[in-house]
Amino acid sequence: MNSTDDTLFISVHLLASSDLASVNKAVSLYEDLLGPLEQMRIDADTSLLKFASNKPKPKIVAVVSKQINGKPDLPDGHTLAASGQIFIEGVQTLCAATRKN
Amino acid sequence: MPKIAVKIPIAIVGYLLIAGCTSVSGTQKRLTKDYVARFGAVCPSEDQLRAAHVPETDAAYRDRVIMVCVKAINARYVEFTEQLSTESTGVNLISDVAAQSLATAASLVTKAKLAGELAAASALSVGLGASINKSLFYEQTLPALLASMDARRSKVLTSIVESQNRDREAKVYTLARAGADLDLLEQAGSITSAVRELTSSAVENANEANTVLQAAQREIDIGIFVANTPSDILARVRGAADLVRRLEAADNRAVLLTLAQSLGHQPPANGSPTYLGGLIRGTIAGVTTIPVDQQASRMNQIEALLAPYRGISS
Repeated sequence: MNSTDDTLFISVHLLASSDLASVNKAVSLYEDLLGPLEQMRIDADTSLLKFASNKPKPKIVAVVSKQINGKPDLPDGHTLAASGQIFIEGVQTLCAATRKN
Repeated sequence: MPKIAVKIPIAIVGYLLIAGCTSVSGTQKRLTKDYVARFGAVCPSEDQLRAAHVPETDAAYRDRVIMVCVKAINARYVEFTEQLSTESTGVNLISDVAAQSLATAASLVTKAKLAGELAAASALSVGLGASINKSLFYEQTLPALLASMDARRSKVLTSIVESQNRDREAKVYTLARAGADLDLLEQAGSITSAVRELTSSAVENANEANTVLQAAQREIDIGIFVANTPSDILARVRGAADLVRRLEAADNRAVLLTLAQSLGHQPPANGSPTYLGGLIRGTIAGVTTIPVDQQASRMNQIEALLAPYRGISS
């Protein structure tokens, strides 16, 4: 391993029964501990959130919401952190994590 | 590396014929209970396989024992490779090399037949255009043998790391199963293993295995978030992670490496502070994925490790 290569992704799973508030609680906690959220997807019967631990702790936490008509709600001054299908209360749901700049 | 691959068995045989001293065995020493006791565990013993380890989780206990065993095996491997690299080594390799069907080596065991053996080996070498001498052994064969052993060890270590990551509850990849892999890791540090590996390109294998190991080391899975983790535990987790971030900011690589190893990781020695800190923060965050009734004791263990560095500011 190159000593300048910091790459390290850390994955956390959420139970499929988690509601949107629990998902956001997890994102808030792990962005603080690990680094920015970079990926969200379904992994078997759980949702998987992947964080980049080599990047600085975000100053503003990403917020996960359901996508409407397949498009993330991305107001001005926000950027897309990650998007993908995850379980919300047991249902596969297309979601987006956005972050205020 | 086809040229080297062809020359290596010849060079080994040639070297066996010309070496003058007999100070090293062709394999690393087996671990003994006394030796491993220096590292705080056996690898794993029957007692440890049966031992109750509350309040540690099964995975934490498994990972800790694996870490101790890997450290011990690595230490033995370093001893072995250092001996191999010493000029006055060699003839004891005969028994090990002959045992793996190098037909020429099998017929070249006694010094009484040295002249004839030299002729046979020489004919063999001339036929393949190889030059049998110490220089060839040290310049080409030994590095290739070491690369081959490294490749096999990387493959086994990768398998162990991936198995640990896949099963964060230690329900399938138990300590007993890990013990079998640890045996493979130990066996990978031998000339027998190395020559076998050289049937395919040693250097290519080393690079490929190293790449796979690095990939495994670049991604860890800490388990399933326990949503009802108490707020006081969350505060302690955040505090510990902040301290690690300060160590990263202070570029304190040596401390981070020690902490990562103490927490059961096997990071590369040249891992960056951010990488090492990420491993540690991942372990700390993992407290939120274990049963609530075990979280406090796990945090106690982590905080005890971090205690000497509480005064560090970034």
